[in-house]
Amino acid sequence: MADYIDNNLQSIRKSLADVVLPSVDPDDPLALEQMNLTIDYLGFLQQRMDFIADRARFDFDHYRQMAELLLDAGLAEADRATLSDELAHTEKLNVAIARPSEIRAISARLARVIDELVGRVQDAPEETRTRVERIVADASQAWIEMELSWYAPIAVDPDGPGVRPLKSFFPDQVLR
Amino acid sequence: MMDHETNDALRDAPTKEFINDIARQFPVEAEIDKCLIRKMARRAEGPFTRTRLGELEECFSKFLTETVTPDFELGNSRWLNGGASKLQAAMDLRWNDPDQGWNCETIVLRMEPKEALNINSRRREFELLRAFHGVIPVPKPYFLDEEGKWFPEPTLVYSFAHGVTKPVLATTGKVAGLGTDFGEELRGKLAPQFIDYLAKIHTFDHASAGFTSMDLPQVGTTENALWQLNRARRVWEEDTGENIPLMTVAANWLERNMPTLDSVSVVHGDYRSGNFMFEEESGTITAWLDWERGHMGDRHRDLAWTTQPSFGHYNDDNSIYYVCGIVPEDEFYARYAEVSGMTVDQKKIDYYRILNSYQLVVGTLATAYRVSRLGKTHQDVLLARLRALPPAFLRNLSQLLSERL
Repeated sequence: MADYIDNNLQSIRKSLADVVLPSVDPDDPLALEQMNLTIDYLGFLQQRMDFIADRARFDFDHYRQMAELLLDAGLAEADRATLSDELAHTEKLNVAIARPSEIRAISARLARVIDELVGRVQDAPEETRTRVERIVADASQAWIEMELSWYAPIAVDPDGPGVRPLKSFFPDQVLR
Repeated sequence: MMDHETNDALRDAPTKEFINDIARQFPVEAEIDKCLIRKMARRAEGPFTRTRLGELEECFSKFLTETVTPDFELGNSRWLNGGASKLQAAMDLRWNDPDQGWNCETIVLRMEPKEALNINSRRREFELLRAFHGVIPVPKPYFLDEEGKWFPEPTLVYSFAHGVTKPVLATTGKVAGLGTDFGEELRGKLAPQFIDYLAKIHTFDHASAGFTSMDLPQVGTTENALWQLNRARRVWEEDTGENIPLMTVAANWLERNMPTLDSVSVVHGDYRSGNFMFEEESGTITAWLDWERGHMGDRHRDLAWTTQPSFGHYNDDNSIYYVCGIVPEDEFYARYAEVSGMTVDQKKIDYYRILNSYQLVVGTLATAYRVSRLGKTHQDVLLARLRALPPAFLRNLSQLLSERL
């Protein structure tokens, strides 16, 4: 039996817009605002549903690549060992078949290790600190670009500079 | 190492130890410290349910009866929208105003939800409005329920300001004040007022104002920058649902490059289009609103905020950038320096622009996540939707940092 979530979301949006919204008290601007935003957000969710797993894998790859670059940044031995262990931990996950929530949990853990390490380099020799901070700043560019595309349907400036088609970040989406 | 779920759970229901650890790590002004401690201590209390208009009227009646006069009439209560932080309602109050005698005035009740997008002090907002009433156009502050003794939460009551925040036919983004195109005629009328009022705020004689809710940072030190940076970092630590290494790179840079304060000014904290009302026909500004992020500190913080790219727009051929859609950027700085008699240090503006971008990510990513997750406001959907904003702020932050690392 097929899954009808997409169809049902469409129905919910229509009902909210056609039936519920006109019945909201016009003297309650807050209620009207919340209802309009809810309808909009359900539309956003419809557009993004198919890509939730791709996004989780993108974040996972982003932090893994950042961690791999940081291994060569001249870190203190203890930091390097922690990062290395954490990277090894991520390899236990089969991202191709893992659930998005599992991928997100592993990515969050790796991001935390990197983040704490970046906090500590504030007191490291300037050369190390600069290398680490540059790696993080440079590696964050692609992730920010993906984020811009992900939220474009509900952003203030959806066609602003740097907003690429979302599918361009998820090559696996191309028909195989 | 704590896993992500444990960390999130700790922020949802923080222990005293967790609250105090963060507070010790990031010291801020006393009043802000009090507000943030209160926020964290009440976090596990459960979600906010929007107060009914009738309840608000009852609360206000009780407040008036017990603290002002039993002789008044209240009516025509209605909700106000706008903003992403406080719950606001308007009412008509007929009473014997000590300043004006018997009259009927529309007043605004501005109440905090259980946990707002911006945690700040109603006492501070009240003091600032009282200080600037008669100096520049601001709503007249009437009453303060600082601890939520009469109202469900801390509440400020002030006069209703008439006017609009943008021209009726304006081209603008979805958020009030962002990128508003006022048109040439209105720009000409608004620009001098816009700059002059900012200069008046920054040159205001704060020493004789009797402020009790703001600490005075020491001139010739980096104390002011540290308080402001700590405030943003502390809120990030209290609210975030994820680790973003770029944010720590930014915090590191901000800590290493704190500017020295040359003079203490009152800083409005959110001086931009969308936060002032004006009469569309005459182009006269009728009220400056949203003083909740006000503090005593560095005028460059306001200058960096007001000139932020997302608040203004370019002309058709991209040759002129209008600050807040009102005045070309070079004219803005030149007139400000002339009217205020104060210098404009571009390096300090650059610093505060990075701090402002950092703070915007803190609010729209970390706080909006935590507050909507826990259902702490009357507009959780709006806060959830703010998640669309951080990518642009992070891009801005990343660009500013990349030039300086």
